[in-house]
Amino acid sequence: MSRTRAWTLRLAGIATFLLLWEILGRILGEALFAPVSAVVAGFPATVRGYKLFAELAGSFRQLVLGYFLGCAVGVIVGTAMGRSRLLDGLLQPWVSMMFVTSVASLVPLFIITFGFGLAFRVAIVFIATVWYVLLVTYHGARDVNPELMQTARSFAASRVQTFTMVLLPALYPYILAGMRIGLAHAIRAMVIAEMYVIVGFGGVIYNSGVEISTVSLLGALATIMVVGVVLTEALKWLGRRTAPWYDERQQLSN
Amino acid sequence: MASLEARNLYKTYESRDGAVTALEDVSLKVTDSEFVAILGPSGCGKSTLLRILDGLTPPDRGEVLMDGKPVERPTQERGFVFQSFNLFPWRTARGNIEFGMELKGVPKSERRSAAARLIGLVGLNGFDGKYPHELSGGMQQRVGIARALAIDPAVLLMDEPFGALDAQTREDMQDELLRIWATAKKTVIFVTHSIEEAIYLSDRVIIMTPRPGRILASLDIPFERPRSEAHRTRAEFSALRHEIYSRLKNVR
Repeated sequence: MSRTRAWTLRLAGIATFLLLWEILGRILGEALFAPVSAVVAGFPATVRGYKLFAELAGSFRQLVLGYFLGCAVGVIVGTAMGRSRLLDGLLQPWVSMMFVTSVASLVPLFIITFGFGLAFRVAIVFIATVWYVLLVTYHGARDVNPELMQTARSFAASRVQTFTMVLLPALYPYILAGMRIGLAHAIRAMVIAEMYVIVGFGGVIYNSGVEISTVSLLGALATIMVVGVVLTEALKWLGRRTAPWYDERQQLSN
Repeated sequence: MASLEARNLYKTYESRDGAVTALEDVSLKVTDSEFVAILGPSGCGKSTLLRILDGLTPPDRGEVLMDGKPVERPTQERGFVFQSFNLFPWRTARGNIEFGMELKGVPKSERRSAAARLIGLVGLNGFDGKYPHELSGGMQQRVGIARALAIDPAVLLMDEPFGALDAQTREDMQDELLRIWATAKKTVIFVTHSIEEAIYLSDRVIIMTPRPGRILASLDIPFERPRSEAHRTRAEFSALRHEIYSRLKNVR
């Protein structure tokens, strides 16, 4: 499919969605489900009333901390598990258990442990990010072409050289993919955590949710969706730019 | 000049059907820019032998000596060329060729000029910035050969390097290899299961037989160099091919 055609379809999809939103909104009314025209018209007031962008920026500062911590730990532990049977055996049950555990269900426990402050929000985002990055890196590390590892050995590469010059570049596309999925989960977890303690952007969503009108709530929701999509697309773009060999290979196999 | 010697090598593998003797009492000696082909059917242990010669796999018994010193692990005195090319997909042709030099800590300017010279030698001018997936199989193996030559090894070990190529490309690459070999002056040990390829390329053909993997014979190839297409159609060429063919057949 050509790029123009793909973009045309994408825009058509968005237009259809907005149209349905408008129609449904007119039928249900502002109190239940505000139409998109009302949400757009009311958006400046929402931004002012809730300090929407300031709260968003504040929330993302905390998110970044937990997110990159999760990425770093995920990459290191995932690689180690993928390359060592011992660590794989020891850690696999924990990873499997944590992976299927909903972050929301951990929130009360984390509040008891970390309180309501920065540590709590960072910890929740960390926990939401780390398993995806870890699992994707782990599978990448297990699937690294053994012939390439052997090639490095035949050139008398040291262990450190094999790690930095073969393993890491081979894992790079996996790490980026894990970071992309991790980011989506990090944003979700951040909002959930903040809704519990009514701070930051999650707090905005909670407070606007109890208003009579849904204009502000839907405006805030649309904002976080757009931000999430833009950020994950940016990571995708970064991957294409910095790992051209991988993207091309995917296109070949498609 | 370098010599590589294998003394009484034994190697057994565990497989599902029990122990397989890959090598049984294999000895050989290769010297002085000699081009030696190791020829045998699949499963005769010739690739295992090559990996032991490189130090990639330890033998169960016996030893490998390079210039009298035991080989215990791979070093950059030996360059390896793989059947499936094994280029690093995230490195360009130039980057792949520079890999071994980077490991040794050769400065960048020196690497660049060495890579440029090798790219010219293997006939890839203009392709140095291409990634492996942008190159044909034959071109990828040219990079593979250049990568092995870049560490300036005394011995080049080649494991069925043209086995994954189509017939036409394969013959082109044989001529290319002979041309490169005439310039680079390396000792070459070339593993193949093609009788014709072994005769066409080498000074000496070592014939191996499977189960257990043993050396059956070592034949000198009397043709002068440089070799060309005309050699393939000579009567002596056919006679040699037939002789090797019947020797291999009688074993089975």
